[in-house]
Amino acid sequence: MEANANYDDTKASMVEKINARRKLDNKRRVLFGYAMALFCAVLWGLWYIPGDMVWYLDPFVTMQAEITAMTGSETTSFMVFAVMITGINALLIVLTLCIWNLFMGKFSEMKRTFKEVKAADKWYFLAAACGATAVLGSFMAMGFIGAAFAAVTALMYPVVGSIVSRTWLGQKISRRAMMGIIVIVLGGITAYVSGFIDEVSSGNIPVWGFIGGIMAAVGWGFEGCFAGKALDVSEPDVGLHMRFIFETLIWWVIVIPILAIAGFPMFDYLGMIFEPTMLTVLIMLGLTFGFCYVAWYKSFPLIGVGRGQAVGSVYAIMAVVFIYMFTGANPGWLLVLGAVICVIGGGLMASEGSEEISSLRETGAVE
Amino acid sequence: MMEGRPVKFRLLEIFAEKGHLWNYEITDIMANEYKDRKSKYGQQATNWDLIELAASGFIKETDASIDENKRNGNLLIEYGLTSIGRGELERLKNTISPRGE
Repeated sequence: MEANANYDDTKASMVEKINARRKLDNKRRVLFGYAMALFCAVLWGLWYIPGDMVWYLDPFVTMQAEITAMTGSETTSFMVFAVMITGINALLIVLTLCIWNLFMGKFSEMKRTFKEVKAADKWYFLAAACGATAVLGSFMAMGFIGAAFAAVTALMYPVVGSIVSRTWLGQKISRRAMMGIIVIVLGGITAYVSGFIDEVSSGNIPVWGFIGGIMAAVGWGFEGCFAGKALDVSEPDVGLHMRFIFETLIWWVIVIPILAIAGFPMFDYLGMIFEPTMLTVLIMLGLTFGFCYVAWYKSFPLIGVGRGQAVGSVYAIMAVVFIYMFTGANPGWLLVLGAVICVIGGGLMASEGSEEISSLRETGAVE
Repeated sequence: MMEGRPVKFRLLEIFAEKGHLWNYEITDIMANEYKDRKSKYGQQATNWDLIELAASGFIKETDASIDENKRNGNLLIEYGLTSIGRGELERLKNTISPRGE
């Protein structure tokens, strides 16, 4: 009798120990996911500095001037240059990730994934196409309006991401996450109103800049979901590399050659980018965006697409702060308010307990 | 069928063939099959893949225990394949390229 009681006590204490340990492990995993999303936010915010600078550096200033003289349209010049810099951005990230995956010992898995690319090729392609749309949109918003506006307007992307990941990936979204989404939308609207007031009061309405902001939000929102699907069966660092290889192919095999055939000087200025200042800016562009993506993709399988994107949205505050620090440009109080509201929304989404996200979707029975 | 193919493909197949397995059993199997999963870092990477597969809902925890041999008492987890994991494995089997090509 006493032996049985002792056995029951030992068993109960073991179950208690396991539960405590599991809770701790789960908490650590979710915390790591959030840390990655935050790390992504800092680098993403930094990316807007070199992203904005390339517009004002040679040889690209000369290139834009040549296109303007050729077509008589500054809008066309901006758009063609936005395509060019998005293509360069993708290529730089492929190079950055080559170094990263080599350092992380992921080349064997990369080879295996390449051989079986058919298993997830449409997801890599769709993630690449949506990501490409988003980056192009962001560069358009930066070029036509300004980096701070580009950063804040893209903030609405977690809303798109959460809705699509719920309806299509079947990932769970709690009531608190839904509240966060509504707050982010309010913040996004505030930012848009701010941009609108500024531009309208200056008598200039850069429609393409506003369209770029929307492209960024919708593109990144969808990218996260397609990436989530690809990451179900691939290693995050490798999956990310594949996504950027697909994007690089879209730009350098399809879009840029078509523009070159149409007569734009797409390749004429490439040889001149090895000038030290330009090269430094481009390396910064590749490093900040490359590692921001590494961290972003790592957060998805751990905390879910919606939460990864929501925490990542702190990047807008970082961007506004960094832009102010490095360029002295005053973003305006309404834009800052919009960013703060969005980040509060992101915080709401991120504040739910780690137990609720131990599995991100309904799994069915275990065999 | 999935030997030597991407790690997550093979992991799903191992669960389908062998049923419920502890994480240390899986890391041992993968260390024997994949050169880059032999080292301590490689084994941790396999463990991480299991966590990701569980987050995706393809495998699910079926039992847990404490590793008494370790000073800090690491958590050992036993996983089993879920029905959506089985569905994903079947999809992958239909998409992979035949051997020798």
